[in-house]
Amino acid sequence: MTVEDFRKIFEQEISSAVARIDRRYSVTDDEMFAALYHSAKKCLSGARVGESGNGGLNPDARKETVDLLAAINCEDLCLAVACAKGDEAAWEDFFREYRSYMVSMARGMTQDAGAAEQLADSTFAELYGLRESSGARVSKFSFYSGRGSLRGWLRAVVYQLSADSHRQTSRFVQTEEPEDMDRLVRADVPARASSGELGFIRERYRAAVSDALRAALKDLEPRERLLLAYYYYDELTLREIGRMFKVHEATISRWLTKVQKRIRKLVEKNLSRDHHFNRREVTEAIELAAEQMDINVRQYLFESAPSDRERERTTESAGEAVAPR
Amino acid sequence: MFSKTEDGEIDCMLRAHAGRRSDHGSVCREFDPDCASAFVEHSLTPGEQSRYEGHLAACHPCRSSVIALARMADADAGRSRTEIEPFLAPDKRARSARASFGTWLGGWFGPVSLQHLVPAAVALLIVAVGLPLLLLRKDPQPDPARSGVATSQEQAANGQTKDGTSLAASKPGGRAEIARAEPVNAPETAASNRPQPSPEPATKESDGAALTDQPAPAAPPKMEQVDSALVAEETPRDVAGSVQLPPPPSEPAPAPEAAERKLARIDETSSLRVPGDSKGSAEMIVVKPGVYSGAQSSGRITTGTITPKDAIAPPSSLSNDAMRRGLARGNPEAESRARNSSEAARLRGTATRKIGSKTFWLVKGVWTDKKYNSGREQAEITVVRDSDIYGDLMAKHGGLKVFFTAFPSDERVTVVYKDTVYKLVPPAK
Repeated sequence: MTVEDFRKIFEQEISSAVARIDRRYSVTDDEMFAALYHSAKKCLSGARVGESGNGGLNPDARKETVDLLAAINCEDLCLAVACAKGDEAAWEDFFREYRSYMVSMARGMTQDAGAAEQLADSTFAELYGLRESSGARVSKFSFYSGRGSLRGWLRAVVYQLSADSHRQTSRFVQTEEPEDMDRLVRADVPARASSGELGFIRERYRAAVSDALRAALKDLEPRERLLLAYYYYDELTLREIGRMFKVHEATISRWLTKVQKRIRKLVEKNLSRDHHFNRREVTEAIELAAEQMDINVRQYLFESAPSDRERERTTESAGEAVAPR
Repeated sequence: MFSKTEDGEIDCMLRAHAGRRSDHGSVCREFDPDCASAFVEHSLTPGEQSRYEGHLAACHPCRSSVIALARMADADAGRSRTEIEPFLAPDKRARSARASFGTWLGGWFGPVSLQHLVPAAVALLIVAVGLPLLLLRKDPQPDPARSGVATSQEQAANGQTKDGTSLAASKPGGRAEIARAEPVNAPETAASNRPQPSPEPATKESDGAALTDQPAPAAPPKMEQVDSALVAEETPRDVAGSVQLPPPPSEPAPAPEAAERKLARIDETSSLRVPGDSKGSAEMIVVKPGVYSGAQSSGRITTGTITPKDAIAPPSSLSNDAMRRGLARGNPEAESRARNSSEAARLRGTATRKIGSKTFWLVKGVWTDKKYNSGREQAEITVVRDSDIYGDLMAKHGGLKVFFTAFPSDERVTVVYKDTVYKLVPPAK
């Protein structure tokens, strides 16, 4: 699908989106259409928007695109396009409106006034575009899609640059914390201490529960895994998680209970099916595993990382490929 | 508030590696600010939201970044402390937990609620001021349907109320009495023999009984019984019902001052007599105790507000802690129970967590075992997390392990275990 195809299919939505812009700077209609096209292409997967064609656009993709165009921050997107073009008026407006905000953000991240100024300046440089691709200046603004607010996007950009800077300056910092080391040592002690028949049973139970748990966690939905990660590994409160999912904390509580029940059900099922445990053994095995607590659940939970990352990388690469405008 | 660890064993397993802090400053190399900021602002399309959630579930650095951005967005929005609180550091959260009541109160009386409360308060004020005035104005003509009694005219005609009782004032300012009338007086007779009614006879309601003060009917009811105890303690402050006291039918309306004086002086002997009781056809059967709150005179009408004693609401059913303790006083067991109950209610915080068989309440930033009673003398051991004593305890008491490890490492926990109180504190940083 070309920009023209996109414009024809979503003519009405594009017109209403463009009509929401108060100040256009020097951005032409074509540039705006192209920006919207790239945003849609980036947000939705390239295959869905790019290959379906006019007649073959699947209804879900169409609906999603319509929703996106209705919700896009056109005003912010237009300012970003104008700044990416180097429009002086746009830059003045941007500087006046966002400069102090960016400095305050940077100050919050660096806890240092001088470093904050430096970070803000380097962010401005990135936004203007110091890098060149095929002889053309590549502005960071080109990557703004207009889905969220420009302010939120700037916050994320400053955060990213701050983290990059932090990573460069603290390359030799030990990543594992002492508590992790202690925990590993402690976790290893009971396994060595147990011996004989009891030790054999424990080891058998432990191995079986590990397998069952791994399989159970694999069966979870991405959202369920994210919920567990937020709650158990990032130690967010219910309210925080609720805010992340835009639901009430009571809902999060119910979700957690539901996921726990589901995991138990899957573990029990796996133990009886794959390891031929009877009901009593299943109960004992889970109890023992809970007491020992030396099963690396985190590893199991994040085992699906490669596939997810690959999929995400595919999506993002499709977006990145068209992002510079 | 929420029990989120219903399945203790699965919960323990999932917590096996809890406590690991986020890698500060680390960002995934594939971190996309556009996507992350849109995710934080809930602006992603459903499909993309799902994809990104899948990535976040697996990518710890991205998740950390998103959490940090959410915190910044929250702070940036300049929201109130209540809203920012969950994104504060744990130590700040603990401090703010002390103000949980204030927060709770603020939640109820926040700006949004206030918008609704202000009109309600104004309406309440208007009702509180206007209702007594309205009642005062309506007193001379009470609503029979509301009071459940006949109007004074009807009663004058019938000499009785629907339920057969009537309150007659023997003389102005005299004692009001409830009498049961005999049905011997036919209405027509009563009507024909009715003396000149007072200019504005009135009916008053008290405790659902029909209360009228009116001139004596032609055939007054026969007096049957008098509550002697009430008669004995009869004083101007001890008159049943709220009555209006018109001047006697045969006399002109007295001056307000005179009526007031008469109201203040009650003739005990005459108060027992129904006006026109010379025939002895009426008998007093019930006199209800009441509290007289003064007299008011308005023109020719003198009114006194009398609140029946039995209309005073009985004490509420032990809803108040102080009252409960007061009632329990003298009974050590009941007193102790009441104290424990109120203390438990006081201690109970907004957050509740159930670990295994124990329930923990977040009280002043400390996860406190429900069974913990600060007033009870128990051995207390303060344990610094990850210290040698902590390790020994964990090795010695396997049961404690579940409770100690169920909470994040920077949380304070109080556990009652085998009649000993263990206070777990985070290590000094």
